[in-house]
Amino acid sequence: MKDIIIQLLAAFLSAFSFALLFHVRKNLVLPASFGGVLCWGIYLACCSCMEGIFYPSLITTICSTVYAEVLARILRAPAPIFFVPTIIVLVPGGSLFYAMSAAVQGDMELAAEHTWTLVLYVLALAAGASLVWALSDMIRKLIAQHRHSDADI
Amino acid sequence: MNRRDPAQEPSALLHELLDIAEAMVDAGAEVYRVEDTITRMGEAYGAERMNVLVITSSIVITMLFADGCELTQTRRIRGAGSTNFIRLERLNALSRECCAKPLPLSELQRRTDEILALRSSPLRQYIGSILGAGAFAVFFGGNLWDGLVAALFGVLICFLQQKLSSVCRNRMIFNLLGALVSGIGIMLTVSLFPALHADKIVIGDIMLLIPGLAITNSVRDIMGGDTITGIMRFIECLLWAAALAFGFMIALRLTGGLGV
Repeated sequence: MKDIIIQLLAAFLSAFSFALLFHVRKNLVLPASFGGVLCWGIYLACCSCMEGIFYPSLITTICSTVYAEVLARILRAPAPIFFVPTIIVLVPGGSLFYAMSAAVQGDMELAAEHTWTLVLYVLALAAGASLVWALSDMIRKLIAQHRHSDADI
Repeated sequence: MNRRDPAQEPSALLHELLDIAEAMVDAGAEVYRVEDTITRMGEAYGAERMNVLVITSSIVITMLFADGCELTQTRRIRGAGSTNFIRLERLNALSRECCAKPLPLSELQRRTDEILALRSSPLRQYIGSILGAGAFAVFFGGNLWDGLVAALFGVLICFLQQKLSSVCRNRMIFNLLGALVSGIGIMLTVSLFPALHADKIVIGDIMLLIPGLAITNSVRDIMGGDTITGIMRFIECLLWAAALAFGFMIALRLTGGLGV
């Protein structure tokens, strides 16, 4: 339990630091940083009831992207402002390092294993985010069409 | 009142739209957002048809006006573009305002310049790097001391980013040098204090340099149909990540004799 709290706290700080690095406006820093906690919380919850890393990452990415899109509508700001700090903790820097360090030590089997993990994370991230973006784009267009037809009448 | 009609000076208007598009790309906007925004703005300023193509390194805009006059301008974009969300937000707001009620061209230029003058303060970057490196080291399983050492090297990386990136436009070389210098530093520190975990510290600092998000975005661009942009970015990111890995690899090799 203590570990989880430390991880969530670190996730908050990580998201917060990226909000600073990418120059997010002051009032939006907190909602963006909270996304990091949400993202990691969902990931931990998914991992406790699912095998592997692909599906937990996929579900986490979908939830995080929805969070960013919804906040963007509510706070009237471009979605990447919330998406980037929220999702940053899922970026597999660890796998990259372990793959590389295994390669240096000549353990190609281990290197390939970590590289595969890396690929899974990136694919899950990209697929999850694209899915939500495609859907939200469709919804936006449907709403616009609806308004348009109302105006015609 | 000296209000000029932008339609009277289409080429100046087109130039201004290119400035805005370039500023958006530099601030970290997605390709489709830039294309969409510029199309809407052009239409708001009276273009009959807008044709906007943005790929990471170039922008092409063709405007067709009601009188049949058709104009094209292109812009080459250099520089990796540091993400700056406050600029992106302001540009977004400016474009919305323009679509609702087109501003006079001189006013639009003034507002764009104002947004471009917004710079991220070095202090903010340092605090971000310190917190980021420290938090990620702890996040990936390091203890508090690992976090502190990672934060220390976060300062070094931020210093390099501030001082070196203006002379070293090639991000691949920059990542290689940054990884090499900080990698050697971390390994030497760990050899002095063996209780530290070198891997956690390195991972914390990797997160500051890794183009993980750019890779994600590029895969998304490819899936979304912006294939050229996506592939260009993807290859760029792979090279950046490879340079990063290579830099740390050399650092590991060089310090390997120290028994780390």
